[in-house]
Amino acid sequence: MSRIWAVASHMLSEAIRTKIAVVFIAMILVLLTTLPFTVVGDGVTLKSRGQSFLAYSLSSVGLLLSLLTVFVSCGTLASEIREKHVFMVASKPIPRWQFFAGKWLGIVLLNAGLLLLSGVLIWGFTRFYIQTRPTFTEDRLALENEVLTVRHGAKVDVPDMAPLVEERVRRLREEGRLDSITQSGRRDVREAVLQDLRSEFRSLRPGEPKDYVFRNLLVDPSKTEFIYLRLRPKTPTGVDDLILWARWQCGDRNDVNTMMPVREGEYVVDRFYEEPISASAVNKDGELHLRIQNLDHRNTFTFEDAESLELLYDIGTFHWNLVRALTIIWCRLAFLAALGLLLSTFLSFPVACMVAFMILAVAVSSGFLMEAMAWAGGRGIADDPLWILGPVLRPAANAMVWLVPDFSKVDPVGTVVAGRVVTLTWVIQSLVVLVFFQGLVLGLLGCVIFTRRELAQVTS
Amino acid sequence: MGTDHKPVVQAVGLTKVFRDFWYRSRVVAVDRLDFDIRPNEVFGLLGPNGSGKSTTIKMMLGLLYPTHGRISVLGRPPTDVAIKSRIGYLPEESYLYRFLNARETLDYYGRLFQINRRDRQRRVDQLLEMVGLTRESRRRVGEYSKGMARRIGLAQALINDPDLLILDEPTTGLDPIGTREIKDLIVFLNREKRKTVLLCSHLLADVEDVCQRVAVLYGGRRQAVGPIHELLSQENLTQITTDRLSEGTLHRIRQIVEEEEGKHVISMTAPTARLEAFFLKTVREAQKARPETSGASAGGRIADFLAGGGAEEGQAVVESLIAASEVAPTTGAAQASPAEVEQEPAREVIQELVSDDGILAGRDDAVEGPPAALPGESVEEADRRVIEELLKPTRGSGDERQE
Ligand SMILES: Nc1ncnc2c1ncn2[C@@H]1O[C@H](COP(=O)(O)OP(=O)(O)OP(=O)(O)O)[C@@H](O)[C@H]1O
Ligand SMILES: [Mg+2]
Repeated sequence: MSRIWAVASHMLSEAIRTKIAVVFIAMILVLLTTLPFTVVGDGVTLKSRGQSFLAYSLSSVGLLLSLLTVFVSCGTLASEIREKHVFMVASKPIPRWQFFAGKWLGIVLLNAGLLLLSGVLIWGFTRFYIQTRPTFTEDRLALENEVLTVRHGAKVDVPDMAPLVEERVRRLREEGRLDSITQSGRRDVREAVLQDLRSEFRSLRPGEPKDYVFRNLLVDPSKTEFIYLRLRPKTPTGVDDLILWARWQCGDRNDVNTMMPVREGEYVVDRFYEEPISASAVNKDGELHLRIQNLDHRNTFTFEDAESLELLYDIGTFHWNLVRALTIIWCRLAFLAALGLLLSTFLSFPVACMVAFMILAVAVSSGFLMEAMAWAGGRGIADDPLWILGPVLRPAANAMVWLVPDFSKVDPVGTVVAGRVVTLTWVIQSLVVLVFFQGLVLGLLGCVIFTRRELAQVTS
Repeated sequence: MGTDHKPVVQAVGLTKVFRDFWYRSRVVAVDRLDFDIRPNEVFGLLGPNGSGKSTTIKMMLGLLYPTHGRISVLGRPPTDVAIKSRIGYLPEESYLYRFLNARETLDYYGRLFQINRRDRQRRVDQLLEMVGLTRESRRRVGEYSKGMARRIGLAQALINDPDLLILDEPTTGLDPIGTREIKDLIVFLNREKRKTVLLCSHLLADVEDVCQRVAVLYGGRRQAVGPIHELLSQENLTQITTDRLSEGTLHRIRQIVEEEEGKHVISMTAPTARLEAFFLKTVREAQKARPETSGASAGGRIADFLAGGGAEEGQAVVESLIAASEVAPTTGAAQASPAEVEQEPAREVIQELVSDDGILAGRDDAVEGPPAALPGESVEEADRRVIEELLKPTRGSGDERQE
């Protein structure tokens, strides 16, 4: 282990003294100190300005560090081999896999340090926004309570539809409308009825009041002051700029203490709104009852997907969320480091860099690639877009996608910006998949190649 | 020790063929090489440029894998990492990290040997002093001159107090003092510390001074191997070496030899650089027998355009140059052509270069150089003191406590 440490600390001083890390540190510093003053968001609210700052700073730090990682990891082994430094190292009693592991450790430590620095700066500037920038109190509260926090989004509890489905199907049968339909057709009818009931549950017809319940809320009224109703109405007609005029009230009718005053509001379709509600509206069973009425006389409005009607409440603090998000970004970098080191065991620096960037591009877009492949694979050989090569290339591409992570699935930036929790499960999942599985496989492969390789053999 | 009788390094049928990407255009760098290095000897590996010396050493360290045959080091295959803690290696060039300073360089390698911090610090200090770079130790190695880098290379090869020291042309780029110090060091490590040393060098005088056995390579093949005195001794000749004798005595000796033994005195001269002669002879014979080598072939012929466009006169110059450079006077002059024996001036030059009491004589007072000597201590004594300090395996712990 002490040898791995020796190599790791040597790696660190190499990165710093050959200036590459210094350049990137400077870029990060410049970026993070200018962004707070240059982003404007929607140009009006402090909240959107804060969100833009978070989004830009986190994703650009992630990008810069990815570049740094690719350069350093592809460069270090390649230059050791080219400059023949390995002659010295390989004649010392250090197994080559330890040398490889030490390099990796050095790179991920460097990344961890830089992420920590960035995290501290980002956190510091969010405090700075809160303290010096608000134009009025609501402005500050919006940023503080809706962005610089960690909230859980509870979804509406959907009642069991099965009895209702049965009821409807029975009625249809009684009316004799199912007589001419086959067995499999009946299953389709049942499915259609279920869909129908579901969307009915999420729709507000003109003038219709509706009751929704949020259950299993982990709100502690003694600690939490406000919870937030987040809604985004839609219209099934697809007409733009319709406005839902709604009257709504929270509270359990069986518990007077939870009843809140009736409120009214206008909500433009396709926009998110957040309404603060006193935490005391939650009853002792951890439920929040909501009655909402559509005051429009002509139009129906829906809360189509689960995200369009949510109850948000604090479940943690912003800085820990930031730490978890940065950890996920670190996992991506750790994977990239293993990849770069692997490539440079048999490729020269420029080639290794190029391949690493290509794989990075695949990783960033692999969601798209997967879809494309599924689409192309779902047809017969005859109309395979890749023609005869398809069956050959597809397993290779599959293997690649299997080893190359889908970076869109490990991108916590949007979650942080939305003030949502970056769950520990997600962090652990990223660690396991990116570091302990994919990273480790690449690393082991790299160790094997590096150990097998004749280091004094010149490759051009 | 159990390994005392087994060879420290043993090569059997060692062959290395370099191929290009398409597996073509083979270069046979080492060709069915057999040799062994015995414990506690200084073994010399000689050969012209490109004869496969460095390749052999790289196979010894696992940097290259043999194409055929095998080589074992300290009784194990070179891929065994554990044996490397007993090996010190100075590569043909000092491949040092430009961004580290001398101290950090040595410290890094020390850490790879898992030497604990305090010992490491002590050894680094002593090695720096030994190679005379204590004052420059805070400068980046990238700024060093070639010889300074070489000295750091030597220091890192010694940081683990190795049992087997592999030196690939240790004296290239070193000044005469440095060269001498390395020779002294090798002799010291071998005699006092019973270390085994593999020395690869072009400077035949160095080899002759310190090596007990040598192998001569040409075109990857072993041309000769054996104890240096056996290789050089010519059993049908006798050489008498004394202080300079007067003409009268010489004449009488000549008479005695002729009268008592009935033989002719072939030559009566000062002793010469015999290994050089031997080396040239061996390589020449190898060249005749097998002209192809993957390394440098016999040069010496001055390029025509330099020689003045192939004029007769130019050719003559070339001839004479070749004669002077190739033909060293030998004790085996009986076998050489008479023309070669006459090369007195060349002999003197070589002798000067080679002999210990040539230009290096009187260096003790003439030179003020590393290592730093204590007052009243000669440089050589300082040398020895530093080396001894460094190599004492179990310096009393009382010593360390004082530090
Ligand atoms: N990595 C390599 N790839 C291809 N050929 C090589 C390689 N290393 C050495 N050679 C060839 O092997 C032969 C022997 O080289 P080697 O370096 O062992 O010579 P050497 O005896 O050390 O010479 P020198 O005295 O110049 O150091 C040369 O012809 C060289 O070109
Ligand atoms: Mg060489």
